[in-house]
Amino acid sequence: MEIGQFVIYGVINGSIYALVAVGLALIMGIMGIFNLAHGAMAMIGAYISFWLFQDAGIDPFLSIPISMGILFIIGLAMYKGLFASMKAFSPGQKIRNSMLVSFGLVLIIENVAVLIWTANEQRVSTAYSGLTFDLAGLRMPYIGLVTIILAVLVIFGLHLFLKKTFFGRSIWAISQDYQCAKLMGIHVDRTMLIAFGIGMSLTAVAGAIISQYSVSPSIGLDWVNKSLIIVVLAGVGSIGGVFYAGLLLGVLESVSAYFVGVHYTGVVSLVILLVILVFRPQGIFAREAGR
Amino acid sequence: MSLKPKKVVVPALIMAVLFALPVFLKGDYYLTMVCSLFLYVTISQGWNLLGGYTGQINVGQSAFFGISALVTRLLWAGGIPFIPALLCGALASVVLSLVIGIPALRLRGHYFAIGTLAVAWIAFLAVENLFPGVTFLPGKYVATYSLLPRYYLFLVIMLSTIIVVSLVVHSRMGLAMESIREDEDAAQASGVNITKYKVIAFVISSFFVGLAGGAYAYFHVSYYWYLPFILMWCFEPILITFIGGVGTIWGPIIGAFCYVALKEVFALTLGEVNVLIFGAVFIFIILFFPKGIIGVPEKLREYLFRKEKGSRAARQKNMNV
Repeated sequence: MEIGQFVIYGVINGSIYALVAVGLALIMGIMGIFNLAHGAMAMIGAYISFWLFQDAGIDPFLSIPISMGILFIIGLAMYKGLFASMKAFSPGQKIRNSMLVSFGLVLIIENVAVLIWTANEQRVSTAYSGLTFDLAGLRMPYIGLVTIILAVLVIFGLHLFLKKTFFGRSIWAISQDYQCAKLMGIHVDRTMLIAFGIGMSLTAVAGAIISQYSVSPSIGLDWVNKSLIIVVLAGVGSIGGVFYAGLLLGVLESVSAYFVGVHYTGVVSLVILLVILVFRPQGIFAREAGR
Repeated sequence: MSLKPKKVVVPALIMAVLFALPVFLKGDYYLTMVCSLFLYVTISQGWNLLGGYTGQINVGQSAFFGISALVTRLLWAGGIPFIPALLCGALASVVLSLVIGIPALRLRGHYFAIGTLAVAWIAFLAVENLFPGVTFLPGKYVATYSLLPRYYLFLVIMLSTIIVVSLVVHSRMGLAMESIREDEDAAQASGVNITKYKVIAFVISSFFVGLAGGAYAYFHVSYYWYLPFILMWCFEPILITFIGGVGTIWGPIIGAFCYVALKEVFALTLGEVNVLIFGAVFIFIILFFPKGIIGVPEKLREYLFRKEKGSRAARQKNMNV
């Protein structure tokens, strides 16, 4: 029965991973911007909900719209200031330049966060923090349940948004052919700008949940690492696959923690990543090969 | 390469100055700084061969740097003379590059970058768990510790890296590598064996990065085992190459000089926020000077020229209206 408990925690962790990664799947997978500062943005989101809880007493789940709005605006500024100039680059150059620029950004954000919030670990503890309920003989935290529901809603919501709305389809069109999309009358600059803002604001949802576990200024790169694994597992360009890839990673990690010890879970997930990269670089859940 | 007198005299002069430098440079502070400058030139030049000339962005250099430092340190502290230990370390780095490179270099674009980044993470996590704590040199080595042999070791490694990389890039092989960077499909269609040249570039690059890693293990009396594996070693060479000018021999040299100088000045004057300012400078360079310092004169000329042309066009437009 103990292994079942590990699986439950794996599913919850996997949902958090998927929530962090879904923004990156949009920004990297579809827009082609390799944003290493993605995890740092989730960290900012977590601190915003921590702040709102500490000073204004707003529940982290209820403050999600506020932090989403703040991160959306930060995302717009980031895109305007840093990434807009790369829109017409070839894919390879875009990835390289955006990776380098966002690495500089990681340095800045981490240090600013240390100045504002100190390097200590913080967490939000609400009245329902440690509470669990019984699920077929296993313990299921309430936060975990909300996390899974949020992950499903956000990820499949984004998937539908990108597939069904005009705006979502124009993002796809731009990613396929920038010039052609422009000729077809799509307002490319505005679309990219808003899409980037959406990708950033989605990290706020993940941040609200991360804040209830633990947040410190240095968590950014860890989360980027996890998100990259998930985006590659899901296949670049696949949004729905992010959810399954997140669950897969979460469960594998927590089951491997049961077998090889908690220190090597990071190694396990990275080895999975390498195996996938070598044998199926287009990802598990994507149909066509991405390049 | 044709041997013009200027081409021989200037490098010979520079080398002579570098070899004689410790005589004039008094004080461990400056000597240490010059050593770290040489280290940065070496690893950046190594990155430049693969990233700048062949176009394969390796974000996992810390793994190659670190594994050589680890092997060299273990063997050397275990009683093997330093030079064989150093060569074993570099060899370990080469073997790792073959193991990683042959499958990974088939990947294109960001997959190679992500894959190498993952390798660096794995190496870091594994070493952090397997070798917790600090490595100290055995007492007999500490007693005879002096900076001078370290200085010459770094110098020789740096010079050999620069010489080998410039020989490679000026040869037919270098041409093949640059063709891969410009257009992989076209290179392949023209009969270039792209995987072969990518792997060769990767191996040469890792060999010299490995030598630098071994020298790092030789230089420091004590350090945390995981320190040569931290991700800074992945990004610093990229940063330096971009500051100087990517895909040029002089780029990493100029870049490393500026990097070490800037880092020192910032650390001395700005205190805690120095990394923050550093990140800002980095972003500024990538965005506005994508060709690095090497490209500044050209950019300046282009800017002035275009401005003149632009204003003439504007005047003409006004006249037409």
